[in-house]
Amino acid sequence: MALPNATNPLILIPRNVAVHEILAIAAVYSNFREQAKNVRIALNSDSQVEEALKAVIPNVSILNKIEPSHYQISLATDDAVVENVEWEVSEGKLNMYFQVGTGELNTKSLKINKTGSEFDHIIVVARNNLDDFGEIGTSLKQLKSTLKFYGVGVDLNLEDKFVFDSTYFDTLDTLAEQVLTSFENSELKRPTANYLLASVLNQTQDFKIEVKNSELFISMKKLFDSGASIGAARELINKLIQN
Amino acid sequence: MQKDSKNILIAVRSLATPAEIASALALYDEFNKSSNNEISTLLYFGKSNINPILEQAVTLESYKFYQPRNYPNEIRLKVSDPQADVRSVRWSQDDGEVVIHLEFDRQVSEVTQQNTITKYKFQEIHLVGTTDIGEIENFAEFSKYTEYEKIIPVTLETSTNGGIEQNIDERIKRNAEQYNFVANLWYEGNSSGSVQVQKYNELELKWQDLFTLIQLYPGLNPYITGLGSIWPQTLKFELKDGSILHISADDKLDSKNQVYRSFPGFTVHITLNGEQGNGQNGNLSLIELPTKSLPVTTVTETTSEPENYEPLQPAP
Repeated sequence: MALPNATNPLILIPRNVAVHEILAIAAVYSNFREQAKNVRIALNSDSQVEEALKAVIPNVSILNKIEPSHYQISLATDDAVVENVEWEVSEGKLNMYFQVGTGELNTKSLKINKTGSEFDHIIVVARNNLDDFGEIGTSLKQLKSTLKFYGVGVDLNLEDKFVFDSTYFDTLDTLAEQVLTSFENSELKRPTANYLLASVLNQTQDFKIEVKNSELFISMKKLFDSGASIGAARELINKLIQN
Repeated sequence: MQKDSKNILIAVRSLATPAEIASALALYDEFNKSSNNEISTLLYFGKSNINPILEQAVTLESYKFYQPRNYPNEIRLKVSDPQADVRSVRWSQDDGEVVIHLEFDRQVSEVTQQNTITKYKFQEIHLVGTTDIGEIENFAEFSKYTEYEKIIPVTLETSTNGGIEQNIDERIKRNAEQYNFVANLWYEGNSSGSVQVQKYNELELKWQDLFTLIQLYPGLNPYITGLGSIWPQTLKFELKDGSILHISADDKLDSKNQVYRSFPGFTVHITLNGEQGNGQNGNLSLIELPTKSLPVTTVTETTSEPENYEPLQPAP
């Protein structure tokens, strides 16, 4: 599975995020932005990662809370026949006018539910539980929603509450490879390749830890072929560590 | 303000002439014919003696009446972000519930209910036969629930010169293909001082025939006598030559309201009360029936035809 063809994707930053995870997320963000998507990153307002993100991703778009933009309003009509619904919105007031053919509306039965956000896909990287995302995750869970989730590097399972899909290969050694796999056939550009290379270097401690699968080296070749460099990758890591 | 339709009210004054009524119905048809369901049109007649016959006509022809009722039909909500605009609204009704899906153009933390009110909204009110909405009887009673953006007077001159007459003709033509009211034609003569009735013939009579007839005499004042609860016993029209045209329901019809409600097939009896008293009257030509001498037979409750029965054929 490849990353969804989202128009307004939102990438979540988990609590206690590791450096290599930030770099992998930066690569996902960069990949979306290279496709001219209206991508944003959400992280909790108390997170200390925000400055680090700003340091490694120029002009990054960050949200500290997620609120709904979709609502569902319902009310019992009993035997009433609604012929039309008009609405008027101005200065914080929304008036909904029901043209009723016969019968009466049961306005006391009115229910208002938050049903979704402006984001067409929520991207989660390396985490399988919305609780890992703090208040952001909590607010998402409150949306009685048509939200679609996509997991990268994680076998996502959100049960019946949301629509979800994911890219995950348990044979891969690094998160960067999982991200690269999720890109599938999309063109890999230099900034994105640098984020992934930095992620690999950080996670493998410059290849000091044991690598189990040769796929990593094939991935490395792709990154270098796309213009990634060790120097640029180290610079990204240093910026993150300094922040 | 965003809307996905246009609501129009056609208001007819309480003392409307037949021509005004015909114009109102023609306007109604014209709006609905060209609207592709984007225009919702309602008719409103002031409390008038002519209502019963009109109600009958509009029921049979699926016209919709304006029937204000005092119950909440507008929900007022508060949106937490005053800058938020609504990007889309989708609604559906199913299983005794109406569901509205709202999409704002931005994040909105809360939408809460404030109150509900009763309101009727029209983008246009077309006033037929008057420029003064005050002439629409009882309208003021509903005005506290009713909002409108503009009033468009429809005068008879407009209806004559503005193409409305053509619309009526088109409506008559169309409806003639759709409706098949069977009417028994009666002549009521005044011969030798006694009322005598002859069941004469059966022919198709459409409401539009009636309106056409009325249109031919726009300056006349119709009056109704002996109104039933939902159907006039007798509808009289004074014609230009001084004679009177009666349109009445018969006793059998009144005792079986169900009959006329079960469209089609109810009967309308037209009685023509000629001054000369022999049932032979030039007024018949108004509905293009041939004028000829008619045998006079005392009316009896029988379905058999009188011996001297002679069918009257509609004019070609």
